[in-house]
Amino acid sequence: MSHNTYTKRILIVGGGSAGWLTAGLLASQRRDWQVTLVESKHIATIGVGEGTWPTMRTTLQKIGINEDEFMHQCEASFKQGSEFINWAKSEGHRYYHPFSLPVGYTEQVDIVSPWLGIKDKVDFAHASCAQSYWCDRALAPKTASDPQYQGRANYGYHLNADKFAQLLKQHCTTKLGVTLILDDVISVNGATEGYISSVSTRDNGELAAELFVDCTGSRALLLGEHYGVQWLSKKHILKNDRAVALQVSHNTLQCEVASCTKSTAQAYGWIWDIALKSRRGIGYTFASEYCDFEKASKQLRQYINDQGLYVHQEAQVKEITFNPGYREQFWHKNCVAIGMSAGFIEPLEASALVMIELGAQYLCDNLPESDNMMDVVAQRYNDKFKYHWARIIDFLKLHYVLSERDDTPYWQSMKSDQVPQSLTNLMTLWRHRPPKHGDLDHIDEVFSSASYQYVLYGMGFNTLVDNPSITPHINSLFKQVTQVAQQGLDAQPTNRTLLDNIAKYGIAKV
Amino acid sequence: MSQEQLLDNITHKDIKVITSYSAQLGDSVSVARVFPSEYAQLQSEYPIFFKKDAATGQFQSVVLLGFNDKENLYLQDDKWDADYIPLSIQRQPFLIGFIEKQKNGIPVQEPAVHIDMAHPKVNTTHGEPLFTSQGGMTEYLQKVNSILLSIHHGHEDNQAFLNDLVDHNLLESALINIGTQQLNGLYTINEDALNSLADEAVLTLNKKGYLQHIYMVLASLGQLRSLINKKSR
Repeated sequence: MSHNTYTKRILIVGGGSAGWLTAGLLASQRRDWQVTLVESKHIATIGVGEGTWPTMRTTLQKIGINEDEFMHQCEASFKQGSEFINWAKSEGHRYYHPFSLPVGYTEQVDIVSPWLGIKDKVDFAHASCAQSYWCDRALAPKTASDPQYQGRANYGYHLNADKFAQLLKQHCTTKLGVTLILDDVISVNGATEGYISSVSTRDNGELAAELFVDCTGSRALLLGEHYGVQWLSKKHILKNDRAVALQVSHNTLQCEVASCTKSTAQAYGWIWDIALKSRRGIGYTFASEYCDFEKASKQLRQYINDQGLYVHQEAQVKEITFNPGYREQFWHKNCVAIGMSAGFIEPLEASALVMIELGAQYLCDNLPESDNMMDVVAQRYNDKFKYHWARIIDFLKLHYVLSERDDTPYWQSMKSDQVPQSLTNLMTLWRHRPPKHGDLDHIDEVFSSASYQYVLYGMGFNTLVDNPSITPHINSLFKQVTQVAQQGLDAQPTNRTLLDNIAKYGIAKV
Repeated sequence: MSQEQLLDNITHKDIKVITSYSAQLGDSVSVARVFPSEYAQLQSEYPIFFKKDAATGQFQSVVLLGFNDKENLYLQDDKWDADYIPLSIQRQPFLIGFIEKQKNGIPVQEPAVHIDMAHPKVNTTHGEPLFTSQGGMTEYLQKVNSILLSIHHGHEDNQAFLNDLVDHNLLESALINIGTQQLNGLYTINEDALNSLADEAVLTLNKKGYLQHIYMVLASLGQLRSLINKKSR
């Protein structure tokens, strides 16, 4: 008697971070499925998305990549959060959104109310999170002795996106048994009941599969072009739809490597500044309604100049156009879109890579074993990710709504127009008490109430609480923050020192 | 603060070094670096562990001498109570420094003997002289030279050995509880991993002499008991 040795097949269309992260997560966790990725030789990846969330540590561990190898190959550095500069006011204001949770958060202690009583003495992030002090000094979140993927605080990475895709590709094809086909997809072939049966390629004929993953970027070859699933533009809420980007060398190979993403608000958007070991990636995302590429490039160069960095006049500025939003559905029939084919909002809070990780992991956990299961999983996936995208939009909009800036029509509009009702409701709540765990509906929120706390109180939001008092317990929590901060200041090397050390000695697994 | 100088027979002709051991002479350390070539002599007297270098995160071999900072339970008055003393202790106050020399016009780093002039064992009245009246090396200094040479090679041996241990996932955190106190940052051989090594790996480790090292380290753990006894004495 012969067993059915039939393996289920997944075809991922498109490489880049989305395609290869999906391939890596699938191939490492679902050995029962056969993973093939078809990638064009002719289409370049967009190569942005250079900031990760701490989730990337788990993702890389699942895929089976060593941290030191990853850091070396991707020129990566450690990221401990984001710093927002001049968002609340057009001058002299800055605050952190660190990755580690506020002290007492896990135990559901309200640290916000007592902090409000001393807010003139210390800002929220420094009062509640030791990591803020380490970001001040561009320290690493770990020491040379800490094993791979472990640190003294929660951390993610800054990385070179092109090299990241290269590393994942190499790992997937040599270690995880993913088949790579270098070819162009020329048509998508339907089967009964609207399912996709195969895609036709220029040189490799038809590629059949049971499940197709559309990682073709904003083109969305399968979900968009083939199925005609609509793109829901959110430009009316978040107007940034263009970006200009440059790669800038460090002045010296000894200079500090900031351990947080720096985001500086500008007249028509904001500038990201991501420090890798080898260079900085600096870009300006702006709204085409108020600004054009030329004006933006000028402001970008001005910023680079103000940073004391040098960029050649001839250096090619990368121009990026996008329509912020997401698809009406992400999973239709036997096709699921992951990456920019599914959604893309401005890079604020680095949601691009984490949405890929979430999508791909959900897929791994819920691979459909039959056609009726397919429909159910698709429905559940769509509901979940529609919710995620809506919350991301709320959270990003919050950064603008809280601003006092009204120096340009851009800021006047961004902070007051088209505020989602869900966000208005939450803010009404938080006028009277601080955000707490249950305020957001899902257990796997992309942005937890801790993130809301950091942004709200970093931006100077006022919650009206009666006589905030500092109990001995609260006092000991505040003290704990400064003690842990000081221990780190004494023991943790700078990001630069640790990166140099890792290049030389690696990071031990234990 | 240490004050390291390149050793020469003019600058240091009158220098003497005290060769006994005591807390006043800087020997109150709770951990000492050791090297695989010493394991055989060490294992009957000291518990051998692995510890990460704070600056680089690289594994070193160490022996545990006490449970608290600056506690050396092997020190008894002016005596080091053991038949064998780790080379890294014996070498004090000397060390290997690297000096830049020109070789065919190309600068190269060469090891050279240095002395820490700020070390409490260094003086001009007590202990062993370094140079004879003619400026030649004394027997004592020759012995120091050979110790430093062993240490120099020991670094490389240690690195090669530890790299293999890491590659075979043979290291794990050592959980040591002394009363209510817990010692952190020490690593030892993971015996489960050792027992489930593939035949091929065992053969490779054996050929390099590493299997013997591994069993020396495991055998040395029995000395933890005697260290605790010393402590409670």
